Amino acid sequence: MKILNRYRKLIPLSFVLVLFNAGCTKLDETLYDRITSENFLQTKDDLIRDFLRPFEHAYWSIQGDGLFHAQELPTDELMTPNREGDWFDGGLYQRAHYHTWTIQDNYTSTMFNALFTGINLTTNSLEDIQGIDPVKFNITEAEKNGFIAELRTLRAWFNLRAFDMYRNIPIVVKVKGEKLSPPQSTPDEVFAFIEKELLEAIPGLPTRQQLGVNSVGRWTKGGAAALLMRLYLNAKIYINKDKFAECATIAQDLIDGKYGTYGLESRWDAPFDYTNSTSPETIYGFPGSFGLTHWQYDGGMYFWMAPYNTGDYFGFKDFGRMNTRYAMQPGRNVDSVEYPFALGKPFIKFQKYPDDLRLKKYKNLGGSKREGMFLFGYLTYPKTGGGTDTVKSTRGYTVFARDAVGHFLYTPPGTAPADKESNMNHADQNSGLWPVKYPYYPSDDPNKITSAYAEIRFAEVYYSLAECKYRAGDKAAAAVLLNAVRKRNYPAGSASLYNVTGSQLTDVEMLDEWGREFLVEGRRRTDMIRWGVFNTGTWWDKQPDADDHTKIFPIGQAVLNINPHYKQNPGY
Amino acid sequence: MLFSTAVICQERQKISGTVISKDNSPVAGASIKLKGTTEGTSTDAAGKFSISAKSGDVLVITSVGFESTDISVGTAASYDIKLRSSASTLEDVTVVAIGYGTLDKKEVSSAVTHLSSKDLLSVGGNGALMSMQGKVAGLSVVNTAAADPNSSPNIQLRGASSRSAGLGPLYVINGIPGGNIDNLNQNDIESIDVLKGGAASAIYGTRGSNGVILITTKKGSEKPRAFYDGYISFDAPTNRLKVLNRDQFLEQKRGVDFGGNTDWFEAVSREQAVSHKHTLQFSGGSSRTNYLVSMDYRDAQGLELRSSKEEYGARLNLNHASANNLYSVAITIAPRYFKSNNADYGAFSQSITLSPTIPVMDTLNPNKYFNIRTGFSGAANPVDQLNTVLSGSEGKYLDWSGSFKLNILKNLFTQVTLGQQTQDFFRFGFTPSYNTSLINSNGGRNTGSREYVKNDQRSFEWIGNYSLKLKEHSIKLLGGYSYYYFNSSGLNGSNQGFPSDVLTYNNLGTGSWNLLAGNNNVGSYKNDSKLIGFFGRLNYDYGNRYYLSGSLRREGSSKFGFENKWGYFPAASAGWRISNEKFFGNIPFIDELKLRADYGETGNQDFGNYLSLDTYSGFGYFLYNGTSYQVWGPSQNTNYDLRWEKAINFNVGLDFQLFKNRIAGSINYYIRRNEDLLGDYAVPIPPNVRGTTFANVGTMENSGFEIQLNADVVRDKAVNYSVAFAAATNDNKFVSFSNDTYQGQKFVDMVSMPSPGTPGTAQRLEEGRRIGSFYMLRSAGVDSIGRLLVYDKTGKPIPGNTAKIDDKQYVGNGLPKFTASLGQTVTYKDFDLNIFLRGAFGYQLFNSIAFYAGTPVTQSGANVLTSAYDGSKYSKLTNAATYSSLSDYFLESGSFVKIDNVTLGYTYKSSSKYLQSARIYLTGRNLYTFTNWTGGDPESVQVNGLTPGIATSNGGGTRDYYPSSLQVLAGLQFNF
Repeated sequence: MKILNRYRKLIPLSFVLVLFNAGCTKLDETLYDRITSENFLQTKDDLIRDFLRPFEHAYWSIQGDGLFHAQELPTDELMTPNREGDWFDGGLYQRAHYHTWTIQDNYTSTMFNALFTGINLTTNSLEDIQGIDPVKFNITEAEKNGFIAELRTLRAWFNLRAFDMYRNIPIVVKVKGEKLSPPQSTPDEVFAFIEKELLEAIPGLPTRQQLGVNSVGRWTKGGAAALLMRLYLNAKIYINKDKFAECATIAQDLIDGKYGTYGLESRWDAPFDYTNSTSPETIYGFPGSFGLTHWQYDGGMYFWMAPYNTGDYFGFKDFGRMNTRYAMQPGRNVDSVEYPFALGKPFIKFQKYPDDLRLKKYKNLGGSKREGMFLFGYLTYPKTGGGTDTVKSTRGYTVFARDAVGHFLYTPPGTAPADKESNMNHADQNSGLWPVKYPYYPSDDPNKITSAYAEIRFAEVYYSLAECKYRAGDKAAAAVLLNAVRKRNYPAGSASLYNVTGSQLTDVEMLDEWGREFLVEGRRRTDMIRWGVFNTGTWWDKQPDADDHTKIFPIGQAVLNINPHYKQNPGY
Repeated sequence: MLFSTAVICQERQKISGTVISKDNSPVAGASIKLKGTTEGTSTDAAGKFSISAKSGDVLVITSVGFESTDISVGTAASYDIKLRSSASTLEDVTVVAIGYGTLDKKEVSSAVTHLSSKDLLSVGGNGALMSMQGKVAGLSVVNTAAADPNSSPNIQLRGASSRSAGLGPLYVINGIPGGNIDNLNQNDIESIDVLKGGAASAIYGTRGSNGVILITTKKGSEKPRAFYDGYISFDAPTNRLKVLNRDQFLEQKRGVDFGGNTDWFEAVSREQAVSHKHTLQFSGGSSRTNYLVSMDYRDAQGLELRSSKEEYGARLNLNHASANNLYSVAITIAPRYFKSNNADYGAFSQSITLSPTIPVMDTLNPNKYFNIRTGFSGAANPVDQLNTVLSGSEGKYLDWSGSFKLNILKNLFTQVTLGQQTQDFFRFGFTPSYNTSLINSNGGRNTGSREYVKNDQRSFEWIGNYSLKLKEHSIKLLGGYSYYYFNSSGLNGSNQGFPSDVLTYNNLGTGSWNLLAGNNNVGSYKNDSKLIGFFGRLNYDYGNRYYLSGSLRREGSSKFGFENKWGYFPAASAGWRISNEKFFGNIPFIDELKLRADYGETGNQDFGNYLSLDTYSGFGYFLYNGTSYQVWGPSQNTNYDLRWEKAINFNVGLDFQLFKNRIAGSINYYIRRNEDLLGDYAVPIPPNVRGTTFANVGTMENSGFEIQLNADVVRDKAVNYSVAFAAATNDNKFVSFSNDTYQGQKFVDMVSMPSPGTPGTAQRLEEGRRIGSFYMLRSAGVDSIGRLLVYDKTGKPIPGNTAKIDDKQYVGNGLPKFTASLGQTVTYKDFDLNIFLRGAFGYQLFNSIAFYAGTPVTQSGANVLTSAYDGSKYSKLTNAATYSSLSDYFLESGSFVKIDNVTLGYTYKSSSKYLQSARIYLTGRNLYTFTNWTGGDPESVQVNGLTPGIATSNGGGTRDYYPSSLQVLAGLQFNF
């Protein structure tokens, strides 16, 4: 009893504690510098920011997470050899060259995730915008549908790339609240899905003319039609159904202006110049700027496609040093003898037509002008305070870039080194030539690295149609179409243009010409597969494969780990 | 009865006295008993007492920490009684803080290690906690750059416990959880209690998983007292890595001769790294109201040219009790200010790989630094970097707390504690246009930035405490409520292209860059969180033999997902003091024996805010209709199930005192299972927008034995010799990497190694494995042409450059199996000598620097370690083809023993009224390391955290390092 009496005195205390319990137990979170999705959309600007989220990812994805190198390094165009220990990277790039990648190679996973992040972000924005009442945002129903049509087209672009690389992919149409990953669909289903999405989107999309100077970055009827054209061009590979006729129809319609007015540039470098955001040749372009975004000028793509100190040669010093990650494969051995194989040798393919304007050494001419498309030999530039300097390697020797691979080091031009070894594991910083497609104007030039990235050029429509004509046996028509683009590469009246009968056109020439026009534009792998040489061909350090399972990539280990129900692609 | 008492009274007389200790200070609260009776009294704060006794009675005086003393009452009316300290200082009846209260050490039934201020090492360096390195078995204190005045030690208790949530223990300073350890002067520490067992730390609920360190600062004294401590220390690099000098460099044809002759290590180092620190303390007052004021100043320099830290702080402890003892108030205020210049960790790694033929200054223009553009990956002129780049911070701490205690009854009180800790930081950075690496990277556009950061923590705690003693039963009951609010915000801005380098970071608006680039480079953020807890604890003791304790905390955090805001954290412990049992009898050599077991569940909520929510945030820019928009989209995958990490702790232990308390110690065995580990978990895309979700997945287990032993070997009037030994084993297993929701992932690859080359990842965290497992190629020696051979997955030796990722295997482990320390103290008259040895055993370290710059195939033009040409195994790798093949060829044993701390002191006692005592001491730190490791100091490689055994920076591998130092410290103390 005594004890109880004592405890009685505790009762008021516990009573107060209970009161406290009711008052001070709230654990809601207050957000200050971010917003939840439920209350993010308030104004039309919010809508635009939401709409643009997947576009920003899309621009990044042209080069990120291995997406550029996977389209170039397994082909006969670019290489990343072991340069005296640099760029060995555990054999990653050599396996890409030899088609011996494994599911442990991280990019087989990261590319998949990068593309599906794009698909999911697009779907998320689609769901946000589909869910709004246009009146509240002061937009018309048509504007809302326009947003939706563009997002569906963008998603089709991501899907087409994932389809091209992995083939057996899931179809995503909903992400909000989803807990399970959708199963893989068959190639036929994916093909049909992409086709349907594009066909349904086209009516709601604007034309290039409607958008005027603001067309860069926007999906138009022309852009969606060009994606359909890409889909049909490769249908035989994707679903084993020949759709070259459908491809030709849509390409012809594009040329005829049924999806908006487009045109070819008259200067070879104009499609890549700072003016290209408004170029009639740009069907779809990612808007670049010096200060904010310029992903094609990133290390995943062109910024690491030149010797380390080439910034000095360009006079472009704003963003650090360039690097020798990518270079063109060699056309010659260390003794400067041309290799015998038909494929590869990209620079020699250009030299086949010696009056090609692009063959000149890249040089800034001042006033936002340039000439030439390649870096070769010594790269000499004027030094501040007089005299000249020449681009040096990071190992001390001066770079003398040659169309061959080996350990040249200090070996002067014209001299053959004693070391004859030339392969993916034996290169130095003199090895290979470097293409410069997008210009690097000097740091004091107002238009330095401001080009848009031309993802779809009108030239592609001509080349696609030419291929369809060629495959249909109409070489003359193919030659006309190709010459329409090619004439800007040569002086007026050049003999380098194909004759009107198209008799020079062969399978090899067709693929070579795709290579010349679209060098380092991230499509060589697709083209080589379509022409049937990706797995059977020989080029530089590459022998034919035992089979063709590497024409699609394996689904990487990291993706399979967390998607145990996914089936690995055949052959892996 | 009444009558007899009266008779006794007649015979008695009132006697008084003072009880003092050896150093003449009064002993308060000493118990005075008449032998053979229950009568008695106790001394007041001045050590005074009075009692009635008759001649021939015997007074028994006992007090904690002193030997029991008998005094025969004679005819005198007053007695001055000097108590002798308990024969063993180890046997001090220790008051142990257990969180929301204290216990006598003998009553403690869970694993707690108590350190008093005199147990701490004398160390000049950053962070008061370096002074407890090696002192507590199972507590790993690692500072991989102890000589950097801004580097704080990393502290981990009983092994790594989490994936991404914080791994550090909860600091409770003077009862305020989440105390700021950086705002603490070592001289202010009275005692440190490390709660290792789950039963003790469970009272701290969601923050107890990594252990709790309770720090009690010194309180005021009744006697006016002043104290000064000052030291000066000198740091010199030790365990240096040796590189080729110019002549050797040229002889080995490493590269072209730039004409200079530079020892880059010397070039980036200060001639002398000098630090000094001064502490001044005053205390005084009465037994009811007293204060302690402590002030300190420290100025420290790092080994390289830039780093430094200057700080000053103060602490006021004020205690006041009302005359009627109804209430008492305690107030603590601790401000601190610091200014620091950051170390450049790249400077010393540059000093290894830069050609010794490169001069520091331009040969043509000696006013300019030599512009280094060739050499190893990322080559730059480190002297230029150190001298021209400004990088540092200023900071202010203000911690205060106030508590009000109301004594409702003699055995019932309630207490309210308010506390606040604020931190304000200003960080700055500037690189002038003439900096050579800036010229190389952006053409010489100067860059400047400044950043303000504000962190604030407020706490409210209310507890009630009730105790009851009924015959053999003793009960202590605690109940409480706590509320914490955390708030963090910041503002930062940067610009480039300022008209003058003279402006540095002070006029960001004049820079031309942001306008040109179309980006404002301004940022700000703010976030907050709340933590609310209710808790109760019951301590029961029967006959000083059986101890039981049970506690329960219900706690919730705003960070957790909607579905999981609240959790329960129960704990129980039991102790059996066998030596107090009757049947135990009188075993002469056992003074004290206690068996105990405890169990507790604790949590961890140390992770970012808002991680469970469906939030949108800004990303990059995209053009729309001629306007550049910042795009907004999902910033993370939502996880409404997000909850605390749970640790289930089990501990058994034995405490003992033997041979008249000459040997004291404890043994513990623990098993801790951490479940629902927080971290980014790979999830499939689709359906998720992002590839990882911050989720509770995974289970990890740590277990180990710990032993702590103290022995007084020689106990003599003039000479005393004592030994302290602490040792711990740690067994770790990552148990599982999935749960009902998240499945599939069996492992994660950790520690991505930097360029040149992309060597890949060095470790793997996998189910069923010990953390710190190296997963790389297994070397099979070197072939005749100098290539590294490795075994492929079928066991066939192949050249390292042809190996695939599939050929990687488990080749070693970087987590020490066993750690130990041995402290020895010798005192002879007024001299004292402390020798402290420390070691770690049974683990491997990856020699990153040898891997990148220790073989002859290190890229030409770069300098290398002498190991490349001295006939060592690294010099055999002469073929460039296998450079950057990551293999166990570069694993070495990390085991070491070091002479960690030697302190010699002399104390002078004075009877002068101006001075009570003075002490002079000389300390040598990190004097010598016994090890087979060739990569410098084995302790410059982190062994705490999830990736022990390899040097890391921000989770990835690094070539950077900071040399360890040998420190000589001379100090002086005065008591006035």
